[in-house]
Amino acid sequence: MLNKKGRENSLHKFSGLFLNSKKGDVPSFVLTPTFRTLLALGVVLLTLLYFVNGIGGNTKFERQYYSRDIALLIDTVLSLPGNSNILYSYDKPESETKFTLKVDKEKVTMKDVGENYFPYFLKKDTNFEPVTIEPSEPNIIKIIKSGNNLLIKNVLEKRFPDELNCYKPKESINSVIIDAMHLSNPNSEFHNPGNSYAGISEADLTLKLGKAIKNSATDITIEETRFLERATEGKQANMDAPISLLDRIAKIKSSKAQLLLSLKFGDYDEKFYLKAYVSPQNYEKSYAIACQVLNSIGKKLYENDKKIDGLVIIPLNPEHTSSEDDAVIQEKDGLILEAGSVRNPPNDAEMILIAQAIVEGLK
Amino acid sequence: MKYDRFSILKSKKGALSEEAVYIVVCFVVTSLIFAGIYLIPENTLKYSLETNNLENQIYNERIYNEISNTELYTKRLQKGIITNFNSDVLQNSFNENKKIGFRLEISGNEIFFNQEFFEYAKPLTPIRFKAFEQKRNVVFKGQNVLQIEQVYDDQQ
Repeated sequence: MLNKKGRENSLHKFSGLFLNSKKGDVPSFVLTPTFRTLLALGVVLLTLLYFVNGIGGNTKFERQYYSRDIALLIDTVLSLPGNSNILYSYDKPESETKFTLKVDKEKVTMKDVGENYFPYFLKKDTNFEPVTIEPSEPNIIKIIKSGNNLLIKNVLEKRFPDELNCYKPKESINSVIIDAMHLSNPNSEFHNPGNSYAGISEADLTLKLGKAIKNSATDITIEETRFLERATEGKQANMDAPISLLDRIAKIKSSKAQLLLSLKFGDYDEKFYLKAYVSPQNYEKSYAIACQVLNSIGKKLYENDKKIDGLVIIPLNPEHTSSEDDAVIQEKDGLILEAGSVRNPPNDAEMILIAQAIVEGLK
Repeated sequence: MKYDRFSILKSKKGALSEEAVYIVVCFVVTSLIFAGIYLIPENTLKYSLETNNLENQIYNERIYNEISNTELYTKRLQKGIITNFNSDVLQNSFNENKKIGFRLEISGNEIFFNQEFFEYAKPLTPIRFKAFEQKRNVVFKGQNVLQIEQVYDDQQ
């Protein structure tokens, strides 16, 4: 066993092999408090730099900031009287980091490599479907409040141009009463073919669309006011069975169907508009359904290369309308659907597509 | 040789080693610096994101709007003109998930939202639950003062 002097000698000899220093220089320096203090400070400084670099690089602050800001914005929107429509951008400037936004019924969550959330508080009667919005360019959302409905969606999330902002209806539709407006029967006192152009009347078009809807509705119960079949022989061949407006209204009144779907066509040149007239009496329910139906038709026709010039939902006060047929809308929740114009009507194939889209929109 | 468990800390003469004191001091100072490095930015970020009762202000506004009058034809809200001063109009203000209660009082008349929670939580403020109070000038049977007391669970 070496004594103290022996150990020092062997240590110095060992260090001398690598550092080529004079006896005792390096170990003495390494063991000084100054060196160790400098070493500790160096480690601390490096850690500090690493940590600061981490703070600059990570997005925790932005995640927290945006989740809080959006949650507070939703709280504010829900507290506002009346309706509102707000655009909100959560792009982080000059960064490639993109956030996924998730809004459920209790909190707003911002996600990228990590996630942070902040709670908000819906009203008890608010109709809201949770939403997850994936990163996009740009990241801009719409926050729309209409009555008791809240809708949050990406502004770029459009399945076709002119897509309407829809709320999910509170109930699904299992039964519909179809009111194909107008009637073609010159022998009847109720003959009222509506708008006509180039030998095609509105009564023909509404009948065709009504029949197509009836044929497409496999899991929806369909009732009808005006009969959706015409006589094929005899004096009444190719004519509608007579029915008065009052009888149509009486049928609608006594019907147990959940929804009225009244059909009409406009009278204007070239353009193709989809219009839904809804009663202001139960506007929110009718609006939600009309919106789904119009979007469904719009999407279907867009996918099949049919140009649509616009979609619109119009609150209708039946007491102040020029068409007496519009009176039907005050008897039941529902909509009057104007699916184009007699001057530019959908062809047979498009009629079937529209009918299928209506049925899909109702579900 | 007799085993001495304090041999690391003691010199041969029994005094506390200067080396051990130095190590302890270095360790403490380094720990403090490390803690500072971690906590200072955390607290700075947290402070920047502090909402300072903004949520509570918004919730008060929600309640205030509920009890204010809505003009019949224009549907315009007449804030501060109190015509719906009853507990029923507050029932839809928040969903069931929120631990929050309100007591509104105007010249001796009082109404509640979530009265059961309010009465349970009020005595436990500010330790377990938090409270937020405001007074507003309103028109309710003439000029009056509305007191809004909000009690909520800030750990939710």
